[in-house]
Amino acid sequence: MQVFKAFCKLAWSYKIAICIYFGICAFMTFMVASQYSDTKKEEKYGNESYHITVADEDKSALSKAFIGFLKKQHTVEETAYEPELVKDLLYYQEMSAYITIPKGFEEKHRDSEPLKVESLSDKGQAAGVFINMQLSSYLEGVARMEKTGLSLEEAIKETEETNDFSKFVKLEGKENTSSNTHSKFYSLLLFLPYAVMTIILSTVLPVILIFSQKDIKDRTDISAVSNVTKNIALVAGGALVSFIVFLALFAFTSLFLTDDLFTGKWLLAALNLFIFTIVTTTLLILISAFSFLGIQKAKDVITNIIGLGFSFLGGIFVPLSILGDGVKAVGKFLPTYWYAVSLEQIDKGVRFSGLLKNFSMELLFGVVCLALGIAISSARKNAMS
Amino acid sequence: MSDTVVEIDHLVKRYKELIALDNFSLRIEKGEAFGLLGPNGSGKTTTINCLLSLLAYDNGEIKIFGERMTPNRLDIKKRIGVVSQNVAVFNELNVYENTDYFCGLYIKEKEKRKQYVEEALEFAGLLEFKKFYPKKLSGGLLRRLNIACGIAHKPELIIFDEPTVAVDPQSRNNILEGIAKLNESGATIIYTSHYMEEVEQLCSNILIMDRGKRIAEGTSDELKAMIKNTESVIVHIRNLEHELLDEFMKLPHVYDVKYMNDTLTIKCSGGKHNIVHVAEYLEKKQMNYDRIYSELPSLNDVFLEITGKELRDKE
Repeated sequence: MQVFKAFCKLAWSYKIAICIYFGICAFMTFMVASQYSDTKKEEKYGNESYHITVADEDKSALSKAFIGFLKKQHTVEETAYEPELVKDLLYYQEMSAYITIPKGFEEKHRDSEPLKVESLSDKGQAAGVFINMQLSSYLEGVARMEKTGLSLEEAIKETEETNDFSKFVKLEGKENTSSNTHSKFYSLLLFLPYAVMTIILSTVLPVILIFSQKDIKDRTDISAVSNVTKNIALVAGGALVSFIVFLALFAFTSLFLTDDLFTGKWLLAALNLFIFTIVTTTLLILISAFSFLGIQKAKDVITNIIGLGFSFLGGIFVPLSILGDGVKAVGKFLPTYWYAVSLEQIDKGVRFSGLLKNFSMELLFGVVCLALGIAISSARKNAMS
Repeated sequence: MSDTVVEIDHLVKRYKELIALDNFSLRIEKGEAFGLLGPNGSGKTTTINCLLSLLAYDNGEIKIFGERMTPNRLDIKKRIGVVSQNVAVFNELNVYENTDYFCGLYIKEKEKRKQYVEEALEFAGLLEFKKFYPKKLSGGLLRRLNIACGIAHKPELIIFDEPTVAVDPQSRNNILEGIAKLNESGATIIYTSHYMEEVEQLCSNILIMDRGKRIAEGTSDELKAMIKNTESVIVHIRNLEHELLDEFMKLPHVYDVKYMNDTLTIKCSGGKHNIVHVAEYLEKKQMNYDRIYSELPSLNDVFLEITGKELRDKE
């Protein structure tokens, strides 16, 4: 317990490093999340309400249905203006369009004549163009629906549904309006291994190296605490800190993934990152086996080399699709690569059974690190004796 | 029940071709302040490391408190305190936390530990520095912290492995006084050093070792009695002709004469009033000198005569 408590105290003494790397992670998360905020702009644009004035000279069921459709999306005022006043209002952008529904609008429709309304708008303004497009789309839609055998009421209803612009924008905007080729889910979770590695390497590694210092190690070894108890305490301390890092990072990132919270792919992504965290912890054991080389002073360099190197080669900073074959071949030996591959597949909807190979490859790296670390430590111990 | 605290029998430790400990034996009784003297590389630290089971050895046997010492004998380890040559503390923990950590490796009860830690800090004169971090402490205070960490759990056997290396004279005296107090309170002390005056001041029994072998053992006086030299007469005299050195050799009990840097050193074996014989001879020959005095042999002389080496590194 004494060793475990000391481990936690020592790890906490690196709180500044934790804050710095967590700050970098938070900044990156905000940056990535902001790339996806374009979708919201599109939705806002789609739902933009224009000021339209309608002069209904027909007062028929069809003309009222048409006005109803417009009211769903725009601020519609039903009144008649003098042509000169309309021009002034359009010029000063007091309204975006002036629509006149001519007398006999519904009657002409019954006579199978094309539906027409008079629309006055500033063609130079996007709003005017947009409203005219909506008008044509609606009127042609009603006519098309009736041709399929629907009654006028049914045709109006169907047309309104297919022309529900808010639905259209929400669906299409997400997929097509963004410049990103990957989803927000993938992009936000992709760089987490870098944060996990750097935070763990900059907090847990120095503590393990302190306990590996010959003088401290000897003083602990000659105490009334057995080696097994000491090693369990060190592993428990490292695991606890690593788990907290994992939880904090994943929870923070999840704040930006509200649509995916507690879904299957969210849970699989959590598992993927958890496995990666375990692997990073085993990497510490391998690195600390070289403590006799005096690597304590180079811990920051080691953190940066491993953090950046693994991230670049494993497709964390650069998407896998962009990586060259040579880099990919090297990356396959790194857990970051398998993390990225897993995440890509999770995002595509692959289930747990389909991810087993990737998870195994990640864990295999951890097993190799653990075995090498133990072998080097044992060899060193024997050499010392 | 035996009062022997440490018993090492025919210990052999090899580092490939190098024999670090060559059939080395020693015995330390309860309440003793035992000095282990030897130059660098003589095998002092190897002996301590084998004693503490930090190093495996090739042959021989080690018993502590009458029990065979092995790495898993936590019950024995619990009764031992070690103050290592290098300061082994955590820079990230303050003075109190460091002492508490190392004390906690032996004492689990929180209240008892708190009391022990306070007592250790008081003993080391660190109470007013308990919130200080090691980096803020002077070299002397750091050494005292190292001692506090080693003795906080009130061990029965305390091993001091060169605890005063690179310590200023004032701090050194404080440390030595503290160790003497621990010994007076009943703790058995093993003190390794190559500072013979410290060992002479502190230890009731001294063992001299070199190249992993036991050279001699006894009290300071017993060791001095083992050598030929009983007194050295030193004369500060200028321009002494070298031909006259043979004349000094003819004086009673003189067995060696050297003249260097205007200092004449005449070594005598046995006899009394050797300084008087030398002074009378100088007067007789009408030789003027600045100063004459007599010196009794030191442990360094003992070591020099036995091994032919200086005990302390040239500084």
